[in-house]
Amino acid sequence: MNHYRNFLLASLLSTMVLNGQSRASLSIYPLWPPSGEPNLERFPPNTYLFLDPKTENYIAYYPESLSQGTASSKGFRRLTIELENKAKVTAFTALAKSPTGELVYNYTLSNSPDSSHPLVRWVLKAETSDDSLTMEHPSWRKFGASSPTTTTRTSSSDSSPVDYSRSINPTRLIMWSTTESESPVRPGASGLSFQAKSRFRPGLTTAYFVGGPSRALAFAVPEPVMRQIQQLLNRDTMWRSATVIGPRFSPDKSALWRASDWHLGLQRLVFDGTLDSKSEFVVESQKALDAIVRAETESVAIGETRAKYVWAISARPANTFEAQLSEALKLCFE
Amino acid sequence: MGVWRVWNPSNVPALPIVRAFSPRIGVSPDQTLVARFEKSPGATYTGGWILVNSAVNGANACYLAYPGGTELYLLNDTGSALQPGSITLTGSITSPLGNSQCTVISGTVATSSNEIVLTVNVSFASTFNGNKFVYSGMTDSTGNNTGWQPVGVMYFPSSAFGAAATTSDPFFAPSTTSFLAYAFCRNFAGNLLPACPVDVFTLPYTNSNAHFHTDGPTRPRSRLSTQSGGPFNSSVISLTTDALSGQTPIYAQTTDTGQQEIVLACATASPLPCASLNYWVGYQDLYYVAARSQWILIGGNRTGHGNDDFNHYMTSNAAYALLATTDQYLAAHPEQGTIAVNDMSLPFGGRFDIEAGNRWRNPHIRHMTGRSVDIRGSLGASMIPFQYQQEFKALCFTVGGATYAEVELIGSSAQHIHCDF
Repeated sequence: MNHYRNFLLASLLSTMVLNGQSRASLSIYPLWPPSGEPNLERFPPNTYLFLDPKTENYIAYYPESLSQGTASSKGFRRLTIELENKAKVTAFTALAKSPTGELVYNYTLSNSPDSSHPLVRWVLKAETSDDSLTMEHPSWRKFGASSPTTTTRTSSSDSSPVDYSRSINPTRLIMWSTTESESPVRPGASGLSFQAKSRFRPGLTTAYFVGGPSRALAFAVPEPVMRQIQQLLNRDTMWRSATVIGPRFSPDKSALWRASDWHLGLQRLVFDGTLDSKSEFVVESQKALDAIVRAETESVAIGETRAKYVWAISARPANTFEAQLSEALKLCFE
Repeated sequence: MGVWRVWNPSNVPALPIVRAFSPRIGVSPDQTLVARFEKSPGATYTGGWILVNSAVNGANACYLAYPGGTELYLLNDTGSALQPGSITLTGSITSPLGNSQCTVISGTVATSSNEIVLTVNVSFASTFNGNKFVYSGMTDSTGNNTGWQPVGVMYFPSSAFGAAATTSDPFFAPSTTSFLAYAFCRNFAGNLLPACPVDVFTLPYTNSNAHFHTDGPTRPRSRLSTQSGGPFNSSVISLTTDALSGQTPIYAQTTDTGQQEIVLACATASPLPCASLNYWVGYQDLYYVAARSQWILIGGNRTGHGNDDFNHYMTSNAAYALLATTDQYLAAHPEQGTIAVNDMSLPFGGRFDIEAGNRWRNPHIRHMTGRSVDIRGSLGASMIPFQYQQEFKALCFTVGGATYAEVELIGSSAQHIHCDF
């Protein structure tokens, strides 16, 4: 079918053999030149931030004349901004149902032995409207699951005609936190018992893992440069992120909403290489999700109702990540 | 209570120093702030400060003062005096200390020979939103101080009243040329590889932004160029990275489709793994307009954009205008009870695709930006009676401040009142 062309393209890509020595990269910031200081005239005006491809840290580079009181200076200042993404963490999600009908999301985090820093904080992108969400861990501090401020945001009983919580991708983050001197997940270790409970059905969401140097900027930075640094210091740049399974869909979310969201998530995982586009499980899952979307968007005659969909695919998961996805899909569409 | 004095940073010596601060980026309204103050050898710590605001300004800020000892203080809203009370730094939650910007829940302090580590749990108010800087500073008994050091940035999403929903991905407005990225190559040792052939292409995500079509190959998508001014002829380009700098800029000309897209860059010689950047094209400041006592939602279940979850998005301003208009109308016609609101915009705006087979033609051209709504004016639940439709249209102008309003498709089964706010 025509609408699988994108995936066929991705499939084609995945059949190509890794036979060369180069690897393409993309950066929304220009590169710091290996030979030394950049010629700012070669870049758009007011470009002050660069990516150092060797260290993958960022460098702020700007004329001293930007600083107050040094208008006559011809020199430049350089500031390295180290990222807090030095903990190379993978997450395993196990799902279970509690006796009270909630879904229990158990997360096991493993910090790679070749990480340079322990994991001291991790963040799960959750749904703003999830009032059922609770968090557990025996020792790490927990933030965001019962915040009165987020509860206020989700209220639909106020005078606002818009429901922020139902906008696409509302930002709500829940966080488990410790310090390096307490109980971080050190390189080579696993952290158990991170748990979230929710009545929300499982879907794909984002986890952020924080570990690395946390140093103050050593000197005052001119405002134009600070504004650019501020844009840089977002969680997707500063922290290591991964797609994980988490509480995603309120019990009343339509099958169309759930299926299209899962479909987008699996497309992204194929595009970024996390999933193999040729995997039978992936292909069947994509077809099944697309079938739900098609069925839910066809016209229904007056008096008829749509058939309830039951998730059933025959392909077996080929690896542990696919197994996690399989379990989540079953629970999402049961 | 500790001794409070106004702090006037002057010279900035090597010590004392705010040696470390975390988080450097905060995006949750609940934060654990950790400041590591290092004093000069042999000196005595005399004070440390943490200031969260959009600039170095104590007014309307979350401004913490720690003069030493076991108590932590918060300044008042004007930044001119301490709030009554303090937080005892034992780690336990006693009586929170707050101003209009933040509430300090608890805190701890740990001291060593030259360092003080201050840990504070703070909850920021939902009204204290937007981008904030975190500044910190300290003094010791040498009389030296650190000056205000910018130590972090916080971003607090706004509440429901007028701010944008966010995605983690970059966001581009429709039909504009936007800088996208620099393409470069590395060898597998990680070193920059100049003059490297790269294929770059954009792909749309199927089923994104409620475009539930079966027309993937014909779906519009961003076109690319290595020049900011184009030409933008294709969504696939082949380039060779600059021989000197090793990098080549890529620009995208976005479409008015409104969808999620990805750009992939693959080294021609060894395509996998490709590099990718996800982004959205559309309008980011649209919110779901839920059913409420004044209106029911209609129209989403027989069309190509899915159900009522997807066709009722507006800007906050437009939604308020609709609410004010409706309230005024229902006050004059209480017997009606509710009106029926039909199409507004898709979650990220863009082409509306009113019918499943109507691929990218756009009869709903006005419904791309979240400012439009159709009100039922034909037979059906909660319709506005024919004799009152001109009145509702007039209220769209006079109460809602509409820029356009009209009774459309008169005489058909799809008659409705269209208002642009």
